[in-house]
Amino acid sequence: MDRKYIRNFCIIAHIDHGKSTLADRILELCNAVPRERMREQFLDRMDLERERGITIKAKAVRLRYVSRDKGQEYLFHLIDTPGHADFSYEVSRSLAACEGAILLVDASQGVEAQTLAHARLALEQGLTILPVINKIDLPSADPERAMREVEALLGPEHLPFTLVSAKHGVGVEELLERIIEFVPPPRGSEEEPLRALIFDSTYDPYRGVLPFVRIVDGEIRKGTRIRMFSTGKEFEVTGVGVFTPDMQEVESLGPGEVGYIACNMKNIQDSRVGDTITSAIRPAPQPIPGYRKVKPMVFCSFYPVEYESYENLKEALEKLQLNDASLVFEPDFSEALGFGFRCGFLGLLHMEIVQERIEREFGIEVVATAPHVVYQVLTKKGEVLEVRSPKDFPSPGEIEMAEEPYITAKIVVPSQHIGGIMELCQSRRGVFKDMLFLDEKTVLLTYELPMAEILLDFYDRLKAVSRGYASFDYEFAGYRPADLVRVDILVNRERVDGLSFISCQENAYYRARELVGKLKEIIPRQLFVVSIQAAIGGRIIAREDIPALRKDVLQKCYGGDVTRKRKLLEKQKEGKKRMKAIGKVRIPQEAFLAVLKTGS
Amino acid sequence: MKELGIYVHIPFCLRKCSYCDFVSYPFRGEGEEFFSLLFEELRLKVHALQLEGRKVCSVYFGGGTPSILAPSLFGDFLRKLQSYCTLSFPLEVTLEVNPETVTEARLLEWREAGILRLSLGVQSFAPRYLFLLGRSASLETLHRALQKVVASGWENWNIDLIYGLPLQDFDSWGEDLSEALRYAPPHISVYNLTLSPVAPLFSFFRRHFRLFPSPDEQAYLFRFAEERLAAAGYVHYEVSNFARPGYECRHNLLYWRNGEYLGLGPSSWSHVGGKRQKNAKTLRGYRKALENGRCPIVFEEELSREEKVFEDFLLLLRTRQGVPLSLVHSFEDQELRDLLLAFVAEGLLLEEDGRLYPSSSGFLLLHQVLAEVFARRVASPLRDLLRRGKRWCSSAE
Repeated sequence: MDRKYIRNFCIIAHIDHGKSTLADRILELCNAVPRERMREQFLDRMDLERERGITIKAKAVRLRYVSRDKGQEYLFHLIDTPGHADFSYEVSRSLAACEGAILLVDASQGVEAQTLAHARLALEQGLTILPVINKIDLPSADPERAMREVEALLGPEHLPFTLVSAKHGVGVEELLERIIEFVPPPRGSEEEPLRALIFDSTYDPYRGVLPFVRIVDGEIRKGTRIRMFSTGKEFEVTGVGVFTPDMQEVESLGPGEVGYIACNMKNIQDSRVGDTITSAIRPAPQPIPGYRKVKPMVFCSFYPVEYESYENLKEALEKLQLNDASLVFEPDFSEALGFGFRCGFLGLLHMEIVQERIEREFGIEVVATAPHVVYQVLTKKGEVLEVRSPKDFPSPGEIEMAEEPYITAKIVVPSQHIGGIMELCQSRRGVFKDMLFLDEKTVLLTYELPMAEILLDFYDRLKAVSRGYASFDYEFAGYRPADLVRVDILVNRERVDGLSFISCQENAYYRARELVGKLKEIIPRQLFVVSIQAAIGGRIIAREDIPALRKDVLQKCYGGDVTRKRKLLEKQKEGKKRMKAIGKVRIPQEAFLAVLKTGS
Repeated sequence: MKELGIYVHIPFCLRKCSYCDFVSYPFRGEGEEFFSLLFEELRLKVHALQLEGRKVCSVYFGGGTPSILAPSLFGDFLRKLQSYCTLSFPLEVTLEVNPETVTEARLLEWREAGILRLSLGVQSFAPRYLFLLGRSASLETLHRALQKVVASGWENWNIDLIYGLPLQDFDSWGEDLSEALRYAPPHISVYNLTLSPVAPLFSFFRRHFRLFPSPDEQAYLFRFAEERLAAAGYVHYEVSNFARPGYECRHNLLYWRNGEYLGLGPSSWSHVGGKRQKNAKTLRGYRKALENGRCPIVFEEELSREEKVFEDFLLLLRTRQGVPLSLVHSFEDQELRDLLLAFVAEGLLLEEDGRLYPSSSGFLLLHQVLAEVFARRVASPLRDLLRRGKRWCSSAE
C-alpha cells in the first residue's frame, strides 16, 4: 500500500482512563475481530493469554479502515505503550515508531502525572498529538475542566479536542477520521539502505526471539540478511509478519510499516529495544537516533522460602528473562536467608511484576529484600566502582567521590494538598524544580529526588498526604554527587556483614539509631550483656546494650518427665541453629530482615 | 543393686486449682477401686521389670490430692509393696497434703499407715492469691492445719510456696515467707508460677500478662526468698527446694541423680533398667490397659550411653551438689569444656571440691545454660543413627 495511506499511532492514557475500551472500539470499527470473537478489552485478553504462553502479545495491531469522508482504505498501526514510568525508555521507543498519539483523558479525573509524562515524551519526539476527552457520558464528567488541564499541558496551539465515550462508541469514528486528517503519513524511502527500529520483542518457543520493528527506510522480507547496529550480530530473516491482531505472515515490510521479524534469534539480549536493524549486505551509515543500553536501576535479592526451591527459582528467572531483556540476575548469598539471586530491574513496578509472576506463574514463594539503588564511587586510586551491596562500599578514607542516582518526579495533585506533598519531598532530600497550575484546582509539581528516597514507601506516603489524589511519575535524571557513607553494625565489637547499610551522611545518624533500637528489640537477651554499636569507619555513632538475662522463662521440670525436658532442649537447639552466631552472640534471621527494611 | 524409688500418682482432687496442669479428676470416693488398679499395676511391673527383692528407699504419693483418700489405703499399699520388695532404712514415705484435708485424726492415721513425710500445698498466705489460684481454703483453715501439723509433732514436712503472682512485690512475698517460717518446717519448696496452656489460669495470664512480674522481677523475688531462707538456716539444695541440713527430699534427689524409680498411676514416668516409660495419661486409658491385663505404658525409650551422660549432667546440675568435674572432663568436645569454663567465668557456675554447681544466678538461668550446652554438643551422624534405631516410639523417619 502507498505510504501516504499509512497512519501509525499510539494511545497515551493513565490507568483506568479507558485506553483498552477505546482500542476495542477501534478494532470493531475496523472489523479486525469477527463479532463473535469480540470480547471486552480484546488486546488485554491477549496479554493474559501471552502470560500463560498460549499466544503472543499483539504489541502493534495492523488495522484496515475505510474512511467515511474520503472513501479510501487506510492502513493503521496501533502501537501499544508500556504503562509505567519504569519503562519510560521503552515508552519513548514505542513512541518513536509512531507519527501520532491519542492523548486520552478521563473527563471526570482530568490529567494525571503519568499522562503528562508520556505526553511530554511524545512532544519531544515531535509526534502529532490528538487530545481526546473520554467518559463524557459519566454524570461526574467535567470535560471543560479536563480540556483546560490538557490545554495547560499542550499550550494554546493544539489540535481540536475530540469528545468520546469509548464505552458507548460515541465519537470514535470521528476520532479515526481526525487521525487520517492530522497524523502525517510516515516518511522514509524504499531506495535507502534498510533501517528498522526495534521497539519491543517477544519470545516464541518455536521461532525464538521475535523483534517488533517499525521500518523507517528500505524493506525487509524472508531471506534478508540483517545486522544489529549496536552489536554487529547478523541474522537471516526466516519470515516477517503483522498482527491483525492474530499473527499473520506477510511477504515483506516496507517503509512506515510495523510488524515482527523471525530470524532464529535465541537470546533476547540480541534484540535490544531502541536498536536499529540494518542490512548486512548494504548497511545504513547511521542508526536511528535515541538508542541506549538499558541498565537496571533498582536491585533487590530474591530468596526462596523453601531452600529446596533454589533451582526452580533459577529456572523461573531464566524463563522470565527470555521475554524481558531488562531483567538481570546473578547468584547471591545472604547470611540470614541463604542462597538466592540478586536481580536488577528498571524500577519498582518492574520488580513487583517479576516477583508476582514468580509466585503466581511458577508457584515459588520468595522473600524479597528491600530494593536499593546502584551507587557509583570514584576511589582515591582512580577506580570507578558500581556498588550494589553495602559490603562492596569502600571505607570513608578510600572515597574520592560518591554519586547516587536521581529522578525527576512529576506529581499532579489537587492544590489543597501541595503543602503536604512539598513537605514530603523536602523530607526525602528533594530539590524543588517547578510548579505549574494546570487549572485553578490542579497543580503539577516537579521535584528532583534521590532515587533511593522513593524506593520504599514514597508512593504510599504520597497517597496518604493527598488522600489518594496525587499521581506520580518519574524518569531517571542521572547521577549526582552525594555525601554517602557505609554504616556498620558491631555486635559485641564484631562487625556483622549482613547488617551494614549505605546512607547519605545527614540521615546516617538517625537511621543508625533506628536500626540499633530495632536490633535491641529483636536480639533475644542472652546469658551476658550484648552491646550493639553502629559505626562509620572507626567512629561509633549509636549504641545500645542488651542486658543479660536474669531468669529463665522456662524452668519447670517435673521429677519423672526428663524426656520432655530433653525434647524441649532439642527443639531449642534447632532454633539456635537457625540463628547466626557472631562470637558468642546468636542473632535471629529477623534482625537481618530489619536492616533490609530500614535500608535504602 | 541400686536403690529404688516409687512414685504413685493419685489423680483425684476436690476441685481443680487454676494453675494446675497435672492429670486429675473430681473425687467421687473411688479410692479403693483405684488402689486395686495400682496393686495390679505394681504386680505386673514388678514382674516385667524384675524388681523382686529390690531395696526401696522412698515412696511418694503425689497427685492430685492424695490426702483426700482414706489413710489406711497408704498402709495397704506399703504392705503390698513389702510383699515384693524390701523397704530399706532410712526410708522416706511422702504424702502430698492439701491443708484443707488436715484433721488431728488424719494426722494420726497417716502416721499409723506409715507416712513419714508430709508436703503441704500452701502456695500463699494472701487471700487474694489463694482465690486467684483456686485454693478454696480460708486463711484461717490454712493456719489451723499448719498448727495441727506442728502440734502433732511431725518431724519431716514441707511447705510449698508459689511466686510470680500478679502484682506480687517484696512486701507481699516477704509476708508469705515470714508466715511460712513461723511454722519452721524443715523443708520449703519455692516454685515459680508456670502456666501451661491447659491450666485454667492461662487465659487470664494471656490477657493480663502485664500484671505478672517480668522475668527480671521474678528473679529479684526469688533472690529475695533465697536470702531470707538462707538467713533462717535453709540450704538452697535444688532449683526450687530449700531444706535444713538433713531434711532434703530424698525422693526428689533420686530424680536429680538420675536414679531408678517406678511410677504407678496415670501419667506417671518410670526409669528402670536404662529405660524410660510413660503411663497412659487418662484414667480411662490406664484402667482399660490394666483390665486387659497389660501394663498401661504408652511410651518407652532406651537411652544411648551418650544421652545418658547428658541426662546425668542436666539433672545433676539442678542440685547444689552439682556435677563431678570428672564427668565434665569425660566430654570429648573441647569447645563444650570451654563453654562450661566460660559459664564459670561469668559466675553462673561455681567450681568447688571437684564439683561444678550453679550459683544463685545460675539456678535462675539453668535452662539457658543447659540449652547452650545442648546446642554445642557435637552431633555425629553415627551417633544420631544409633539413637534413632533404639527408639521405637518416636515418629517414623
